[in-house]
Amino acid sequence: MYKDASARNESGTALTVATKGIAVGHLRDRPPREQRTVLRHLVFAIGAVGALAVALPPSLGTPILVFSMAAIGCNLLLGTGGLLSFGQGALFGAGAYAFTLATVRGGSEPLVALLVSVAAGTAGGAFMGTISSARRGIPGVMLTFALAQLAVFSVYAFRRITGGEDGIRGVPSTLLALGPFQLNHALSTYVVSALLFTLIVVTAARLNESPLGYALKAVRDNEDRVAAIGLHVRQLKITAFAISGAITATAGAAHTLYLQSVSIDAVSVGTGIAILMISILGGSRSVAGAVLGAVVFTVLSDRLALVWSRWPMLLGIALILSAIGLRGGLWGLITDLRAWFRLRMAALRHETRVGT
Amino acid sequence: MDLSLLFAQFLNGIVIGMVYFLLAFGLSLIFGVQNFVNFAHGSLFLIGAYLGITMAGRLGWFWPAIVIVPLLVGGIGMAIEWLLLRRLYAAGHIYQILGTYGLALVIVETVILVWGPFTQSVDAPDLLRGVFRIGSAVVPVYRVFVVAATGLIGLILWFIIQRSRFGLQLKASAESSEMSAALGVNVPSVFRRTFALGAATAGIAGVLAAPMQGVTPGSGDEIMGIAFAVVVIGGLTTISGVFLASLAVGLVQSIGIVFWPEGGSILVYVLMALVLLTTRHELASA
Amino acid sequence: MGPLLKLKPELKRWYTITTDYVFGEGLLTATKDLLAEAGATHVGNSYHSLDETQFSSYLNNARAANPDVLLLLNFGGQSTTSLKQAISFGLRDELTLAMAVSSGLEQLRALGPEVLEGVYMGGAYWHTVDTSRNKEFVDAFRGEYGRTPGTLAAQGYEGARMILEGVARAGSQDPEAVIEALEGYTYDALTGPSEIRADDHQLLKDYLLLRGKARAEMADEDDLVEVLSSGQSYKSPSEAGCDALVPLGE
Repeated sequence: MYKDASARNESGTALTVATKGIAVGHLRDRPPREQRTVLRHLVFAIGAVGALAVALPPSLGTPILVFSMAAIGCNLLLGTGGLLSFGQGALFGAGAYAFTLATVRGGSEPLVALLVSVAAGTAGGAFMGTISSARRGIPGVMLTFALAQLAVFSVYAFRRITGGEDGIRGVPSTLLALGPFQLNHALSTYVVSALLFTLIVVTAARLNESPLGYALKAVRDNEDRVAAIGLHVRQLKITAFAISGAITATAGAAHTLYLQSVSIDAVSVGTGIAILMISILGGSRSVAGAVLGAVVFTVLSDRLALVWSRWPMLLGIALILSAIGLRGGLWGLITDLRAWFRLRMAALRHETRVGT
Repeated sequence: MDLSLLFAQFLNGIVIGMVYFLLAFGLSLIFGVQNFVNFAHGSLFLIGAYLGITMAGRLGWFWPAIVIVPLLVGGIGMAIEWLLLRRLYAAGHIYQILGTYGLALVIVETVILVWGPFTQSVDAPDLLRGVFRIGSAVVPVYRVFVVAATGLIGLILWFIIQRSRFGLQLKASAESSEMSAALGVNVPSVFRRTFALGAATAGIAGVLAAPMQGVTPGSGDEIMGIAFAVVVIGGLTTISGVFLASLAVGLVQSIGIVFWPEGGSILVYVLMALVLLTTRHELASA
Repeated sequence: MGPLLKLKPELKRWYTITTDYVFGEGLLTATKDLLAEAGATHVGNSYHSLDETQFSSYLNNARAANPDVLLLLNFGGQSTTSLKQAISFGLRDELTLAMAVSSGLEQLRALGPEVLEGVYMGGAYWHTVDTSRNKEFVDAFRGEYGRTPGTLAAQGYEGARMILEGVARAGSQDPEAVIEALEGYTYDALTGPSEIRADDHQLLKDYLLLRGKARAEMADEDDLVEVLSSGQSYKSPSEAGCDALVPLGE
């Protein structure tokens, strides 16, 4: 699928690093490159949180952070592992329902409920990974589709626990105090989401450059080769699904905290597809792409929806375009433009020098 | 357990199975021949249903609609294939899914622009009003008509695939498009006509289904989920496989409701997952 | 559906088809209470989701329970679709069909007399309601727009009039003041005397029981139903389960 030269090249490196990583245990001689990644992404996350807080009200900022987290979870599967999953809505919903049930029915503290959500997401992701990785290619994708549908109909069928089409309300709001300042619900949720977001951005970026990350990239580019050098492909896929589940469920929990309720929408196939679209729209191979996708999607759906209620048509067109040409998403477009611009500048400089 | 209820649900399952067959046929045809995953197939059904409502409802032309709407939807399918889908053949399944999902969004939004967001329905033509009574069960005449019409369409499709020159070219192109091209088959044209045939059957499924149920802009997505399950369960090789799987899914849903009212659809997707997990599936080789 | 029970006490066995969410659930609970009071039996219920369009299985289930009445506790497009499917299954010949909430002229016109004949419906407004205010309203509306007003038109008119009245009473446009001025407000609505209950701001107005006419009985194309009765049955705030007014978002 990724037949261009640069991708093949990357796959080569990915394989080498992956094997090396496995060979030396856990990369005891970690190159400074990874530390730089962590630092760069920490700065990026803090910058993004700050910029969003300044530019947009928390009622937009929080959903952006939530969907960024979900898209990062999706990127890990799609961008890094080449695994298309229709089940991201189910994982998001697992986090959302676990958080709601823990707080409303179980009376847990928010922090405990968050841990419950992460556990539910990890378990759900591992389950989905185990089932779907039993088959390669389209049957695997179809298995995630079947599981996603099953999750929706289960929420509907077990309405005594889940509230069915009504959902569950009454998630207590977590109010933070910063020193003497008591924050209101909107700000508190924004701060909580921002902390989780930062944690996830850094973890995901670090993961991408870990032996696991390289092994997954190798699976994406050539599954047979990875198996041939002795790595356990299925285990890698299951691990990716489990981590993606944990991240996506965290997003689901933050979303619930923000809405103070959960509805069947959270678990729907539509939510899963929205997450996929954000990930693809922004660019599924980078953390920055996920955030960019979430910003564009949320702002469009909020602002454009006011003027033009048929705005999803634009999303459709964007998806078609990205399928035909813009495989790297918006972020890919930006990096391509930057590269083109540099080349152009270099050429110009060269011309000037030749001219004089 | 009330036997007459089971019998009524059995008949009901057969009727909805017929609609699933018409939809799943096109889906499996396009996948089998072109190795193409079409997530916009449900929107072709949707266009068919709404065109049918307009023609049969507002204009009162039910019978002409049965012929004209599939032709229209087939034409739309052909245009879509030429404008968009042929650019996705080489792109791999993930991008096919994304592109056609985007297309489905565009179609659904267009349908809302033209027909509005609310449930619409249309009456069966006067000739097909009324009910048959079989024992204690009642079956609306229209539903019996749908079963008969689908049977006829199934035969025509079988003839096209198994006995016509086009069917031969289609199977040859599915086997090896390079070899077929070398032997003088115009493969892109075969693909385009295959897609049009699949689109037309989805369109007629829409026309036939509209008088039995309400249609909303979400109907396409909903029924396509089931159609995917049918294709997975029935496999890609034969029309009869898809037909039997359609009936099985219709019956499981319909009879499942008797025992577990909310669980009918759960059973279908469990079945789908089990088939995927337990068989070496043809989809895998594609 | 209380009036229908009084009107036809011989209808003893009721089956319901309900939308599975708060509004449907509320209707179902109220129906069960009414049936228990009147000594009738609730023989079964089928839930369906908000996006269901295929009701044949539920109709089969209903038939199997052998009821006297099939009562639809859904609304809008879903009540239209499920009613049409019930008719297509020939249920009108076997039992009494009733629809708890009909949404007015536009919906009934779309259904047409072939479907509506003999079907009982609840409705918030109908243009033939026999009050002098309504006659004025219908005449004025027809004069202005050349068509018969439906429920939406009537509700729009009443709503706007109510706000104007509130502003006049409060002597200001401050929302809080207008709210207070309208608490306990009694007035002559299109359907007869109405009141805004002070405790919970519930509007107490007449609700109509309608029955579909056959095409031959219709005086004009909008004369789709006859109004059988009209009356009020509201739970007190505490019975309805809302003891205090809770503003949204707190």
